[in-house]
Amino acid sequence: MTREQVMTVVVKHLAEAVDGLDPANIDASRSMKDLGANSLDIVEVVSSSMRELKIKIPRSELAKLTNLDGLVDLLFRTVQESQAQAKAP
Amino acid sequence: MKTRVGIEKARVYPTSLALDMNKLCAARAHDPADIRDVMMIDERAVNPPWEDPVTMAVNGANPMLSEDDRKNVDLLIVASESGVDQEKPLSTWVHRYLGLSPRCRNIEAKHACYGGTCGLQLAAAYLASPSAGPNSKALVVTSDQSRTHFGKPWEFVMGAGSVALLVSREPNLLEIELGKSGIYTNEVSDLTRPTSRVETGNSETSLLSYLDALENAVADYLARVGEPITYDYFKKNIYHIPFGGMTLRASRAALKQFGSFTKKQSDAIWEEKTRPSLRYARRMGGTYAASTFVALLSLVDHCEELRAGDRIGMFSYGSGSCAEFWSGLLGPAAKEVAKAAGLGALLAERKQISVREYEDCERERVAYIDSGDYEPSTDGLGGWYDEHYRGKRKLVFRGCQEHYRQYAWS
Repeated sequence: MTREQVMTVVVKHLAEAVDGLDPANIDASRSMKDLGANSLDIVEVVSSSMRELKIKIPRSELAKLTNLDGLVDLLFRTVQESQAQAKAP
Repeated sequence: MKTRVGIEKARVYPTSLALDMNKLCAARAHDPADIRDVMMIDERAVNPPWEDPVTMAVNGANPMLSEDDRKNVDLLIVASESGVDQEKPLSTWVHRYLGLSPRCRNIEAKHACYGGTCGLQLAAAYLASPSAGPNSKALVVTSDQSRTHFGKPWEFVMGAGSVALLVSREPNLLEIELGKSGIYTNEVSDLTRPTSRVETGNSETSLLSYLDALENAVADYLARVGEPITYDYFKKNIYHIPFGGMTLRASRAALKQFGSFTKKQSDAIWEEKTRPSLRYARRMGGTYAASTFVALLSLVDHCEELRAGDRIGMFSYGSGSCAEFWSGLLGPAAKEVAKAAGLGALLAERKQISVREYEDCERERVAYIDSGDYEPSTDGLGGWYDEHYRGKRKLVFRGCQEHYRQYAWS
């Protein structure tokens, strides 16, 4: 899975959560709050993304995030680690 | 023939004081629309200083029980995360003041907001087993109060209350579908109460854990049912209510396991199947282990279309964590049972208090909670004790003498 595919998953869930957000036009350097998500929306987006990507991320990592790019980086890194573990003998 | 077991009667004690969230929002400079529309809370229940988890449990159950009920209850489970003693269980005081038979197992159970549902399922399993006698009944009570969080962002989701469930082979309110239960346990320190005053943790971790547990519990429920079902299998759906707004997120998450829905479709389904369950909870705030049963009374009282045999999906989540998605069938006298519980009237007769009065009640409890010798004041709140308690035979907390807790009928 590529970083772009992870971004697509996150953006899909973010656009579902926030009314009027255009998935084709999202500035990933901004925080989800700036993009119109409230704290419950953010929980929903993170939860739905983790479920779709079949990964779990500790809260201590999530607390450090400041923008959408950061979340996607973290999710992508965890997907890679999870895939590497699955391949390990 | 398969044994039918479930909730014969239920009754909620919503405390006797109410704080309007608009007043709290004004005092804390918080946007009231956020609390009303996103969090979905209008008021919270507040305990006067002479109420504690024991008095709430007793005052919830006492008016509901007949003399025969008191004689036949041989299992009492009191679920709480607000226990008043590390050794002596709440259930012993509750047993005493309800006048139950001495031949009655009793235990205090703790599993955050899941304790009541776990107690109910264990009680139902007992009644369906050969261990129970022909007339055996069980009483499951939850009783909780928040700790003090002045000025914190989560102050708005606090509350208090108890629910009493009489469990028997006459499930007039809700028959439990034995075995149709999806369960998910996962150790996480999302919210904890490490001392008698502290209630701490991370709310985002807890909400993520709630949604994760829900998805896993629903998947387990679907495996247990063993045949393909749609969400229409359920006439209504109740989700644990830390605050009403969470049920919208929970409903969306659960729906994803039943098919593909647009946000609009998903929200319309929540509107029809879950929103009517929030009416009473909106006026109590967080009720911890009681929340799904407060929601059940709300559904039955407000949905004219409900009929005996309708299936209700129930989801409970307790921090720590354990979650259960189970189902029940409405009993033949559900509307009469809910009417007798009279929760709407109990909510209406509470005294509306100011932010100052709420803060005074909380401060007094914080000051005395670990003290071995004290007597709660009954003279504040504009004479509320004399007006609402004196001579009305409610159990009240009289304080401690050398750490012995004192209770009396008002």
